[in-house]
Amino acid sequence: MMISEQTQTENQSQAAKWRCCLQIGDLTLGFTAAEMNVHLDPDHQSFAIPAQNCEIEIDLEWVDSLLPADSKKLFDSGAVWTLYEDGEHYVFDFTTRVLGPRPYKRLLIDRDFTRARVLFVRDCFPDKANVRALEYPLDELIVTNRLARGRGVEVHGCGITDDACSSSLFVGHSGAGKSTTTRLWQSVPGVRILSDDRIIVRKRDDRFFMHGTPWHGDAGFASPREAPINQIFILEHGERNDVVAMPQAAAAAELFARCFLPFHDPQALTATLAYLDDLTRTVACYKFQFLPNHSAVEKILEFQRPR
Amino acid sequence: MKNEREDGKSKKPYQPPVCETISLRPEEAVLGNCKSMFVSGPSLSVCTASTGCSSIGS
Repeated sequence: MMISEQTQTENQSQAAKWRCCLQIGDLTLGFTAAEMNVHLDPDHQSFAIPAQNCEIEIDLEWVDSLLPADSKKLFDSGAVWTLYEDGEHYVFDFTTRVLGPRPYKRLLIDRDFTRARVLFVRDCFPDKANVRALEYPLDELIVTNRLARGRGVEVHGCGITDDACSSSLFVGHSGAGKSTTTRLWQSVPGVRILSDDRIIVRKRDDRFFMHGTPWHGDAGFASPREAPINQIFILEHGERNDVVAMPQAAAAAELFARCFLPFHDPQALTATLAYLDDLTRTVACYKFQFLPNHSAVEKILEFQRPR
Repeated sequence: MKNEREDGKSKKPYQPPVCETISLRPEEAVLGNCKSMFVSGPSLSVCTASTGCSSIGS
């Protein structure tokens, strides 16, 4: 497996390059680093694929320093990153209170989100033998922005599929019960869990599929697999187990509220709304109020049983 | 108004558009806030959030 393949360039005197390719939600991402020892988190290792040309190519480089961006600010995440616009590129600057206002890392990427450079300030990374190149949320930002051009959407949800080919996407805000749902289904024979927190939805051959992601929740499920989506449930804690069909527009709206979106980009938001419209016209959506015990699983199994 | 189409099938009654309000949760919808198994910043082992930490991911 190409976790940290060392590839020699044609000129053997050149420094060895670290190359890693990942497949997440049917997108391929290729990371290349010269003069950098990159550490891949265990959560990403099962998403590694053999070295190849990728849809999204990212070069990782050391720099001595970065000045705060002086171009037009598009979005402040309120967390570690701020987005700027600079000509044909987007600039994501990453800062932390510990290191002050100067960025410790910068992502420069084209507007299609296919070609990127990530600049790491050398002095900010004391452990140079162990740089976490895909430190959250860099790779997830790239993936969600690439998807938001009408290619798919990442939702806050858990994906559960079983041998009987019934696959359900359970969507919910934090605290709605995704990890609880995952743990309840974990003990059901023949069930596979794609993720307990983040699912990528994509369409292929007129069918919608859900893909596991490396960005798991408390229960720790992160599978690179995929499954067709048979139904979608919006999770809510309830006094009893109850499944209620949702009007299509309401379902699209509730899903929108549980997506990861580039709020700086009106075109991407419009494309995502159209995508959710298509999804909710194609796949039945239900509100699922549930009790946090095994009766919730029984309720869904009974609901899925042919009548 | 007739709800009968020429092919004999009944037409769905018209339903006017309905405006529904949904709540967005910025702390969840925007990537980059704390996630329990991740840290932010290079080689940092402590949380640097300016507000109280709440793990995202239910």
